[in-house]
Amino acid sequence: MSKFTVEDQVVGKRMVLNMGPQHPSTHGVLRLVLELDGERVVKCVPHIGYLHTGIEKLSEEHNYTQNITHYPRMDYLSPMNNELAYCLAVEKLIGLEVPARASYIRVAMHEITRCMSHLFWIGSHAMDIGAATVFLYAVQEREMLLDLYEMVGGQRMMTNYIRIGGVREDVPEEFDEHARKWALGFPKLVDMIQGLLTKNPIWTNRTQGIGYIDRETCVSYGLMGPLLRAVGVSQDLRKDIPYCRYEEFDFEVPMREEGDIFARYEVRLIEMYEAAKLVLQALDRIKETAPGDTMWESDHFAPPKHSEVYADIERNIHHFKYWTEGFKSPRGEAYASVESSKGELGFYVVSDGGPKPLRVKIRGPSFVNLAALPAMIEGHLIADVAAAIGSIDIVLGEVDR
Amino acid sequence: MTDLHDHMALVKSTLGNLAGELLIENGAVLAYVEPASIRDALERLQEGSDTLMDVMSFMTAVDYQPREPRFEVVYELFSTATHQRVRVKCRLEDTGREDVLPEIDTVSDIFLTANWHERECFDLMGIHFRGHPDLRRILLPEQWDGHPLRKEYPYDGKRAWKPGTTVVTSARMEGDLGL
Amino acid sequence: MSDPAKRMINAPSMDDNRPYINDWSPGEGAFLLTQLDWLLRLAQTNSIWPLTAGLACCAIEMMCSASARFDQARFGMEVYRATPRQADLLIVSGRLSWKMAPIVRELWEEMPHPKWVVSMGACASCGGVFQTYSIVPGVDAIVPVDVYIPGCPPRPEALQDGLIKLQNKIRSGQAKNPFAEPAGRMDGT
Repeated sequence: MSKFTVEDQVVGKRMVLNMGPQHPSTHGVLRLVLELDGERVVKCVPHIGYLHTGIEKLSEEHNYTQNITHYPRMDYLSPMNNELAYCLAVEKLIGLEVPARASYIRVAMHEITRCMSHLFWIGSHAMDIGAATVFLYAVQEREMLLDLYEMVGGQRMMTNYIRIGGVREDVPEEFDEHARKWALGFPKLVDMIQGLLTKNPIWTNRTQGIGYIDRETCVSYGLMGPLLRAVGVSQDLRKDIPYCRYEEFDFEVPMREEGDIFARYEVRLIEMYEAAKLVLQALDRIKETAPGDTMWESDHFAPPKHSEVYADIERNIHHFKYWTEGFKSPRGEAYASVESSKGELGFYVVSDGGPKPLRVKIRGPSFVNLAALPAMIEGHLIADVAAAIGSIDIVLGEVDR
Repeated sequence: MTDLHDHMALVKSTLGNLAGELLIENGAVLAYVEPASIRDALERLQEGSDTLMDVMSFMTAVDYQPREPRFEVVYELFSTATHQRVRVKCRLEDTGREDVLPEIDTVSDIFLTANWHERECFDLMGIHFRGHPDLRRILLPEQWDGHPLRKEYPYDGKRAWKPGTTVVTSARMEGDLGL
Repeated sequence: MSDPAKRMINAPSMDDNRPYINDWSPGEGAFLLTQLDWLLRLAQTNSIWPLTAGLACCAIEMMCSASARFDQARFGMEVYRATPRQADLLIVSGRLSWKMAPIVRELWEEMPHPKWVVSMGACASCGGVFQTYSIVPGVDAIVPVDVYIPGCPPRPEALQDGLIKLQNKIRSGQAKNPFAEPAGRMDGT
């Protein structure tokens, strides 16, 4: 790639186009500077940082429980995934076990979050390519999932529900019925989206053969998740390094060989089917466990049960110290990652023995995946840029943190 | 746990003479390496037939002020074949001067993902990576002064944005393309 | 108007001594219609076209507010324009960083009059949860705001409530003077 010179611009050979931070199909505040030769992209330079919030620095100022509020605002399309990854990292740091019921609730919410994220992904991806109807159907289905969130956590998106040691409180009784109803009806909706898109010649012409990166480059770029599974690597953190008792669940890991936008689309659709199955399995297991056992028992690291706080002076003091100062975690470091809807979402927590972490590093999959965008679109037409960005499924909150 | 001890032995044998301290902490194998030999260490781990660490999950730096050496650069590697992880850490000393940044070699040609991770490290922590093709700020504006993740930088940035400091309006084409 | 390329944005001081803007009058230079004023404002309020300037999580709730269940189209606001030249409402939804601030300012300046600004969410109104070095503590330091909507993120119904308040404000003639400067001290004085 030759360096862009002023002479090129004057003669008219190359044009520089700025897909600025405000753009309908960059999925947030992403700026792409494209060097074009006619309609073909010769070079692409992403500029990020327009949403940089300093979450990692802010995490050093708040104690471990307060930090949970920052992370759903990071990848705001799959909020509970972030909370889960952070809580797993801190639990590894402290080294205590989460009760079974809490694990199964976490699995159910994890898969519901995955569906939420994939629904918004297919809606906006299809809308960028032109199929605007899919957005309305996908967002309507997503409203049902937001109702489940509200039932469980009290808030539509940023629930702050998954806590260190378990979950904040038990799921209400109507959760089982509504989640089951949703999970049984969900495959029909995915079938309908497939009917609109998969055999559609416009869709296949726009997505097949575009955005291909070969396997070695994918691995070297650190792409995980649907991007790697679409290139033929059977990798899924839920099977490779199981967390939250995923080894007890039965599900398939989708895989494709082509590595283009269409393959990624198919992989994510199959993930949606599998997620609905996992939610049903998780609901069955939740029924088998004793209700109410959703937070580990600990004199120091977990809040006491509400009913006991006024019964006992030690519980009262523990309650006071836990919610004002926070617990002092042991010195050390830990890294835990989950299979988020976008890839490997991980938290690296370093502790110096105090109530606040020394450093929290967030391994956001969108940050890593976006670095591969130039390799995907150089040589393609400018119309493919929007399709490629959609297929990576980035969320700028996670890229910029 | 025997699994992790076996893995630690494999890492030790792959790294050979480059391995400093190796320990297991909170379910992970940590390997301390000298900053001067980080490139060789990561290459050996990537190509070693026992370890096959082909993916770099992330790369970051931690500021342990006031402990000396101040910084620790952390590389987390993962193997898609064996599903094992290893965390390689380098202790890096601060230079003591405000205008000279601590330096370490880049690994962005060994793992392509390190390109952006190292830019972020430079931006937020102020560590210079020798040999990086394009080391400039990635998350903060180009004209920003200071490295926020360092411990002396206040989280609400009162130091950086004094009244009267200016920010140029949106980047003009020639200056800020990055092409 | 000076050249936008050379104009500087000065960061306001961190002390909150911003003057409270109490001046709702249309100001000199505005063209006053008398009998047709009511009809004009009715037409304006029932067909506000927002700009697609979503920044972060609040933008997702904004999109949900435009979709089937909450249906912003009943208020005439389903037409989101991608270019500021065709839009008349800037909904700043999400946290605004210092890097993005000049761009939001330029978007606001490119919008033709009459234009309005809604600051959606806690982060846009005051910095919200993120009182950090890189987030502007309140978008009214950058653009003049008509309606502030609290919430993190505000429910789509809350957004629609704020938009109805904006409609009422326009109809009663109290919307911000289009030539007003933002509440923060933009020019460094």
